[in-house]
Amino acid sequence: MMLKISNFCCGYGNMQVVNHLDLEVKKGSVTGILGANGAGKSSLIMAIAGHVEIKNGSIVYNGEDITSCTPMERVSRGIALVPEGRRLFKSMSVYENLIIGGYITRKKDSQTNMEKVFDIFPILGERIRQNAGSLSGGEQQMLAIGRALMTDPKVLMVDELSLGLMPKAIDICYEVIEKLNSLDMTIMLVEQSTKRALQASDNVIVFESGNTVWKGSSNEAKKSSEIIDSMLGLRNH
Amino acid sequence: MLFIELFIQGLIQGSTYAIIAVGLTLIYGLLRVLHVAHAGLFTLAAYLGVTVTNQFGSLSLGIVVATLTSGIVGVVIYRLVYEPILNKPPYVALIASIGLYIAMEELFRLIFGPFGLSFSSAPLQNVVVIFGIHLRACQIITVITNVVLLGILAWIAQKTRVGIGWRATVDDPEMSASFGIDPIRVRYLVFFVGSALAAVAGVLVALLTNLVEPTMGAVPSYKSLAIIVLGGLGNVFGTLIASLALGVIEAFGTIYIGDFLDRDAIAFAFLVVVLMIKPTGLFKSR
Repeated sequence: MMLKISNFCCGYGNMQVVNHLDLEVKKGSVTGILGANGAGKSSLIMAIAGHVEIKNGSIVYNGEDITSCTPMERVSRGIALVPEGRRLFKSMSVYENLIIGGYITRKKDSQTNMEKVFDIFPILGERIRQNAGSLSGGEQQMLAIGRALMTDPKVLMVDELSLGLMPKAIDICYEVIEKLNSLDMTIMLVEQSTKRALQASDNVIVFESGNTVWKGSSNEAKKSSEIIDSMLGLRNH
Repeated sequence: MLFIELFIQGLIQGSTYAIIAVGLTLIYGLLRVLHVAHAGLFTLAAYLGVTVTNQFGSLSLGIVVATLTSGIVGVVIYRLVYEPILNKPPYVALIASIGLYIAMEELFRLIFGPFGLSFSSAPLQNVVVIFGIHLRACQIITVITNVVLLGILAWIAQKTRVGIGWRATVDDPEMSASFGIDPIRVRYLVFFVGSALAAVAGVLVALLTNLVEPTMGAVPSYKSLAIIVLGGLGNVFGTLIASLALGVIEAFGTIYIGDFLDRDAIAFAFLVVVLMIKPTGLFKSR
């Protein structure tokens, strides 16, 4: 098991946004994290990355308890995050953003990883000296993924991959996710677009107000209208 | 010829303001703290530079000791004064900084006495004529040192991994930390570099004036604060331009309106007028 999250609660200050979650993520799988706005999806992956306070429970990664590790320690173990809104260093160039992504790796490895990123996203190679802030939305998302790949991750967590992107850019990004997954990378995908998420994922977990309302394979999820409603925030209480 | 001579004198003065103000704006850009006690480190370095030079007869040793000591004291100030109050509102750090500066000033008075201290044999005072312009050797050394230091700083910030990590931390500390850039180390580095730059300025000003006093940091401090606002808070390039502009205005003002306004009054009048017209500064804040 790549990640085992047990009795997990996280939140901000006195507010708890994810309640008693249990989740197992298999090596080489794609896990879709679904739910309506404010359900706690982004908070979950931000907490796994170490940016949101964990209030209870544990995260075991590759057999090691990383619950109290700093974000930096989690990155160095192979957990990378593509955050919502991308959070690029916009006044810095494509090259500099990638250098920051590879900050913890050796200079030689960083160079090799950068070449791999340019193989995956050739457009970034063409825009290498351009400021990140001047790229199109799709290119910025590619750079955010590329920056995460510079850390040489084993688990890649992507928050809202398709948000604000044109359909063509979404297709390119999802093709890359599939390609990375075919190389045995474990992917966790937070997504508002349920159709896209169900297509790309092996398993899904559905959140509602911080609680897990359903988890299972994506094939099963596609058959349940109750789950789809929950993802869209249409379920009546 | 007078025009060129004044212009060069202005650039010399402006470049000195620049290395004081760049340190200040780097610290502001990273922590959003107006580090008034920066001027205390400038004064400390001037005292150390003169004392070590007089004791050992080596200006180079004086500069090295002053720079390293001030750099380390800058880091200690961050660790003991600012770090515990970073989560408080910005005015708390500002009040702490002003208090610290006053305490440092009084400490210099107690240790070195209320009167000025000079080099026993002031180095680099010989006059050199370049293209008909008369300059003292220490003025030439001042401008060369300032240009070289700012050049090295720009190179580090733009071309090295450390510099790129530093700029990323200024931009988004949380994200940069998640890629393995230690924000605490970056803060130490910024305080060390900023304080070391102020230290070099302190020793150079001591060379130019051959006088070190407990209050010598006050005027450069006020001017630097105004310069970093003028240059756009946290904007290093803007700070550089504002410093040079202020130096040149001061040099010309001293000759043409010096009869009814003294040098510092001219500088502050210029800053007040510019900030009245453009309160957000000449360049964009970072």
